[in-house]
Amino acid sequence: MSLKPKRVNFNETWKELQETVKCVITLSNVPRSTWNDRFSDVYSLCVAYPEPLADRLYLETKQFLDNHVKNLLEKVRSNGKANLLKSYYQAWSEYSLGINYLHRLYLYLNQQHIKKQKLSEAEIVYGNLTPDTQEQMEIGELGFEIWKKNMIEPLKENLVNFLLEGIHEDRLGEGNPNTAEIIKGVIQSFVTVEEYKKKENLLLYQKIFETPFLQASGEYYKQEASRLLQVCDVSMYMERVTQRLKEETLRSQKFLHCSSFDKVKEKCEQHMIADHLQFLHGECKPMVQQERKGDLTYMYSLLRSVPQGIPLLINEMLEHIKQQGLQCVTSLKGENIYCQFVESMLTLHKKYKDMINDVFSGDQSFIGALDRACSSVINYRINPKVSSRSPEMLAKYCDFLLKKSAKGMSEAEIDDRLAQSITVFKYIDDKDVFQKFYSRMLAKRLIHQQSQSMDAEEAMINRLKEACGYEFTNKFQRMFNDITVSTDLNNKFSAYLKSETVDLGISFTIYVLQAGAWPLGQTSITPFAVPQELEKSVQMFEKFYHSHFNGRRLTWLHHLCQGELKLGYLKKPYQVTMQTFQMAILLLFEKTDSLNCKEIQDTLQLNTEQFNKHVTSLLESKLLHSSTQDVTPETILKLNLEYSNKRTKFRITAALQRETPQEVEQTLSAVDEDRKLYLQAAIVRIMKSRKMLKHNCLIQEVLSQSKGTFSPSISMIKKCIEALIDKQYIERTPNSADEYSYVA
Amino acid sequence: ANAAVAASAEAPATPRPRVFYPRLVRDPPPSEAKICALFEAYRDSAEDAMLADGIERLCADLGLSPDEFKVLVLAWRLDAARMCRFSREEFVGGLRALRVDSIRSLQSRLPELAAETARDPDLFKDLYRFTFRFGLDADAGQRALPADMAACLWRLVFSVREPPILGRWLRFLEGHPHVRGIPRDTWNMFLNFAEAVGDDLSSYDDTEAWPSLFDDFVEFENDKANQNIAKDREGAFKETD
Repeated sequence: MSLKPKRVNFNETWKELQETVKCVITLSNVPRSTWNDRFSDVYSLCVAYPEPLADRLYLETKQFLDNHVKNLLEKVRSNGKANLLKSYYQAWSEYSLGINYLHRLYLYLNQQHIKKQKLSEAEIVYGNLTPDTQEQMEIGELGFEIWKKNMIEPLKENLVNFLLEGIHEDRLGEGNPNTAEIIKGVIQSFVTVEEYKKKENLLLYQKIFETPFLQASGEYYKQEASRLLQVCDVSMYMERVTQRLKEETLRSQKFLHCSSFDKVKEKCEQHMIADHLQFLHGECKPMVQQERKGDLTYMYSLLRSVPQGIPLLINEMLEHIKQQGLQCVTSLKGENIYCQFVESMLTLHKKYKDMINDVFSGDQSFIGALDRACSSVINYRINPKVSSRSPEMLAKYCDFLLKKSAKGMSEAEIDDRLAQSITVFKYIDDKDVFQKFYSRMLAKRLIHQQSQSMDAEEAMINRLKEACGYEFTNKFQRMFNDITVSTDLNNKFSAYLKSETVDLGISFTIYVLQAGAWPLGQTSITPFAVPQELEKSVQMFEKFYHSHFNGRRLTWLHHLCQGELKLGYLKKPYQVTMQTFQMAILLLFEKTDSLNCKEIQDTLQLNTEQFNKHVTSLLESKLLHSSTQDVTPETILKLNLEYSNKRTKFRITAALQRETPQEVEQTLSAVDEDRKLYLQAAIVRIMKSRKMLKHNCLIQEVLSQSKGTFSPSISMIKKCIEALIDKQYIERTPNSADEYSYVA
Repeated sequence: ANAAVAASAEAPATPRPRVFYPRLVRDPPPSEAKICALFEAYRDSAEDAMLADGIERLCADLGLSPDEFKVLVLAWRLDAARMCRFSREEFVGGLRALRVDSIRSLQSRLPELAAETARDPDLFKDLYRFTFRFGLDADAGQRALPADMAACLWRLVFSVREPPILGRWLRFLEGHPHVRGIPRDTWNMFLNFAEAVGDDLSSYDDTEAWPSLFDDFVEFENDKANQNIAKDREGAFKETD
């Protein structure tokens, strides 16, 4: 066979070709050799001499297909209306397959003749030209186009009605499993006939099927919703709706083109959820208050799918958690109120965190609500003018755990509770108040050796550092280090004593504390004449220390020291741990059994307040007796020679180490002073960089800078601004009373 | 380091607005000699300045009482550094600037000046701000006016064009002895405050840049008003019983 163009008799060739075309389109048997011959016939016609006959071939084929489809239409119609879907589907199944084969038979025409004159994709997508209707199409496309025109157009209304009916029956559960395939196939045909198009290739599907379908679905679910509402309570309604939504999703997958899935879902949600939002929202409050988890799970998944659905539920949760929390904190009473406070907060937090994870799949907006609720409970002020006691209570809680007092708990348990207390810590606004209290309690624990374990202390400092930064725990760290370094120092000191061959007569250990890091006020400093027994230790240590660290000044904090005294004048020997001042008083009784107060005070040079405090503590311990009810200079103190105690080793320091209300007061006012300085420094910094700033901007900047450590009141910021105006760091901008400028 | 502690020198006084007085008849220039003679007449025997006693005599000769608005205006025009003392420089320079050289001419000039100051807001503001500095006891290193002194000066400076809120404000200060000093900013801003609120504290907005003492004052007044309302209600219930 030659590929050379030659003369061809069109009529003869077409006649043969047409026969084969008929067979191909009806899926009848076509022998391989015939197929091959007709394939070359198409070629010959396209390249015929003297004129190519391609256009004629195209027209004849088009005419043939046109007639063929018209005949099919008649056939489909003749099968009766009731069988419309089925017969359409059969015709379509055959035709769509046949046209595919035909397309291949006409390969040469498609490839060489038609493609060349087609517009490129870019021209269609980006150009403004409307495709010429007279333009020739590839045979496959032509076949679909003819189907659309001759089959779908005349039948579409009936087809769609039957389709909607079929889907409706499926919804009612009356669908016939055999028709499912037909329905899907028919719907798919609307998509397939336009699939070849490069632009808006779902238009037909959307126009003739999807739009009426969505409309009908909307109607259906509107009625379904109101039907359900009449027979169901809210729990059942939500359950049913959830089920309906699930079913409808499956149904979409069963019948529809994937572009419709979301639209159907949206329609259902619109009519079954959004339209009844008021009803659902109204049910949220009792549901949340009774913590009906099952209902809430449904509610969450329903509300989440519609706009404006969720915020109300979030808010109800927030309010509920807050109410629960406030009820908790306002009803606390008793001795260990700080334990109750922290632990009940932790329980509350855990309970609702778990609930949010279970019910609201850990949704961040609910976690945010939990945070806000916890923060407002923890920072709640019973009296709006008095700041919250939570920072103090949390510090006490930590103190309780870190002290030796926490008995009956394993180390791991203590560690676990300390780790959890950070949760509460993070919610505290006034972190600086916590810092002050923590620092005072830490100091007491370290100095009086009350810490359960130094590892636990260090771990806690590290946790706080992690939560609030290096600066926040700087002083804690330094305090901790002073204590650790002191062990080494004491060793060196004993080595020094040995090398100097000095015997102090007592065993002596010391802590050297950096003045800046420790919250040790100067208030309780009193003059004190160190008893002879201790004098040597003091002198030797000073000598040793100054030889090691030139230029450092040591201040002796005798009021924080303690010693062990052996009592040998009683029936049993006792070993008593007491404070230095108590010890100094008792040491005076070495040679006598009674002394009057004035003598003692003159010898020791203690101030009256300290003296009375310590004498009273000795009287309470019953080691001494007094001649009068109150302690006056004339009171005579006598050694209690009848003293006895079940234990031979005990301490009498406890009463003196307890936190007094004045100390709390002092701590709080120290915080206040620090805050003023902090705010003034912040204002100066801000104004220095901004030069000029409106009042409210300045307030906002200050608030955002101090957010990490505390939340200052506006009036405190204002007072600091005034103080700075007075000190001429800033001034009001001339002619604007509402703006400040920095005075360089 | 905290940046918020340090004392600094007095702020430079804002320049006085220049005011020109249109006059129909041009007075002859004042005689330097006459002014000096006048100063000598009231001058203290020991110090080269006019002190309380001399100023009292001067006021008497002018037919004024020392605690009158016109005397304050005079001190302002002389730019007196402090109370009860006119230095030679202040007195001679001031009178020259006022173009007067005798008791009579000064006496006729003062009412004119006082009226004009009361009328013109800029001039009044200048006088008002001057009054704070004038009242400070500079020798004692005062930075704020003691509240009682401030109250006296407020009465004096507002003896013309008294703002409606002044009475309540002064009663508030009297009732709150813990308010010890009035700093310069609070003094200056009171003029704005009085203009802004008029007689109606409901327009007051504590989110604006007012000194906090005004916040306290307004809160106090509002509390009082609310209590009165509550009392009125109680009263009304009793009557209906």
